[in-house]
Amino acid sequence: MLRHSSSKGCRLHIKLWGTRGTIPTPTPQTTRYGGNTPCVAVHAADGELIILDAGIGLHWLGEELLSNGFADGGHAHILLSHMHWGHIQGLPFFQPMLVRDCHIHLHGCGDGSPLMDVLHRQMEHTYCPVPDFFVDGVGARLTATDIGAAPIQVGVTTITARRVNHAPGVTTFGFRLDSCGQSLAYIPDVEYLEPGHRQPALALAEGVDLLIHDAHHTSAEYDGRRGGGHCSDAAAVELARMAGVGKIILFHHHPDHDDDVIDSVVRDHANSDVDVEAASEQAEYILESR
Amino acid sequence: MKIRFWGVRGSFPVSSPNVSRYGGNTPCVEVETGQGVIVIDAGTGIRGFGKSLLERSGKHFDLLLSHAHWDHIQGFPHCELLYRDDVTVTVHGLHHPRRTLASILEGQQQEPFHPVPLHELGASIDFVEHEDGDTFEIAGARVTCRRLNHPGVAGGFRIEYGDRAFAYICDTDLNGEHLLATDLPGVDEPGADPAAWLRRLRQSACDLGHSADLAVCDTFFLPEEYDPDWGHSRVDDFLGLAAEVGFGTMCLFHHRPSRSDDELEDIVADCRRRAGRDIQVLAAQEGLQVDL
Ligand SMILES: [Zn+2]
Ligand SMILES: [Zn+2]
Repeated sequence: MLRHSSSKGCRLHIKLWGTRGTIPTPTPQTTRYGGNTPCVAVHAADGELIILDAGIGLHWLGEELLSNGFADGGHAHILLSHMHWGHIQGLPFFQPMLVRDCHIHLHGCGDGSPLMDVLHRQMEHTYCPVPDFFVDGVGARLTATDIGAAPIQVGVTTITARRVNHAPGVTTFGFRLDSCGQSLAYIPDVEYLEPGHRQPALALAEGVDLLIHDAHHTSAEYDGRRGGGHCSDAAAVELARMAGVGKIILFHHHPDHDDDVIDSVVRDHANSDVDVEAASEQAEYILESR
Repeated sequence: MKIRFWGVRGSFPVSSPNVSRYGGNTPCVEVETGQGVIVIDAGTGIRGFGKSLLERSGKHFDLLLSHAHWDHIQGFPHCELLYRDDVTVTVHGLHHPRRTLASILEGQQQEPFHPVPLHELGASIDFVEHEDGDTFEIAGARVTCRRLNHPGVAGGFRIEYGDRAFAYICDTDLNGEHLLATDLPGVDEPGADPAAWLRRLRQSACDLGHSADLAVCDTFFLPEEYDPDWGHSRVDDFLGLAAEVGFGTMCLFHHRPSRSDDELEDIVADCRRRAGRDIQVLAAQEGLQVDL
């Protein structure tokens, strides 16, 4: 747990509900770092809930929300880094979507189509038997905003989105959250193939307290997988060093990496001048002002 | 026939220490005859199957899809074997009057959802659509497919090889009173009788499971959890069917996401007490192999 002293009021509470890249890995060998695809819950000091990505981890966050008041209604923003399945596949199983008095606001990019239409395709009856909450009158109230150049203001939290280099055919964002003095950057899927690719990531991560960053490949594997749209742990830590972050959380673990592999990746950075940790499901971080 | 379970969980993959003994991968069951490999459903369990067949130097398999709900196809784009150009796969499914089988899998791998489109996978993939009740031969085995009562177009399979029979009866609401299956011939015409269709679909489950040495059963619900709109059965429904048509072994399958290992063990123990003396009961567990 990351604590910067303890004065009341301005705190940002972050909980990891899904840390795995590409496809869920429900095996006993991955239970410590987790097998659910990406989902991070951020509770701001003013009570706003901002959810980063909607992988399968979102289902379990939904369960917790339902037992903490959402059964009678609640309000959340979901920011989608991009539309690959691993980042949206939890939406049909996010139970607050079926609660009438909930209001869920989706932010993302539909790559030329309205965001709602793109997400709606996941609910097509051929593929999905869940009641179609995208239809008016079914379940929660849903609204959507296409992410543009302007920052997104959610209560006291300012969210900046920047396009990063990931995969062809899909616009991919990283996010930075600034919330009364605390800051978090979330860059789950990115690859730095040329120097210019680092610019948006550096702008997002500059001086943040906590950076959650793609580390899909081990450094040893990376050469054979260059161009696949993901980073190695070394590239992630280098970015963190360049941006001067407080701490980096290695994220989006490769489905073939078991807990032992991830342990050894973290060990490789034990003597680093940057504080390096690997994302483990259910981990919580509290950022507080000094 | 050797039956191997690669994914046993229903609805969506569950990564939790509470399910680590029985497993959290979505449905994928391998049937190895002496003459080839058949795989039923392409849930996330198919990743493990693909790696295993690669190790065994297998170059071909037949994939039977019970239906196209996410939990039964979501592993397909992540099966490494399909990225090799020396591999051939034949995908079988029930004919859907409004969608081809190929378009269903293509849809999953479209931009912006997946980076590699279906036609760029290295393996050569053939599609065969079957009608309700069709029988065909693959891997030296005789396969029968039948529609079942589950939302949309869904079905089950019976595989006979030598003197052994294996049945896969999932996903279905065996004794449900709501007709959830769609696109049944004549069902939308005036005067169509949904109750008659429900009886026919139940009979299909009986036919698939009749005297099967091993029957994989949809036991998603306990009686108190039952929801008539989901298209899943209760444990008790299949205990009844097992006695009615005489399964050798009843295999609980498509475990509910919230079902913990401990709970499942209690359910199995309860079923063993209540099943007839001639019926074995087990719960499908990832990694389990049953030799018939
Ligand atoms: Zn990803
Ligand atoms: Zn299912």
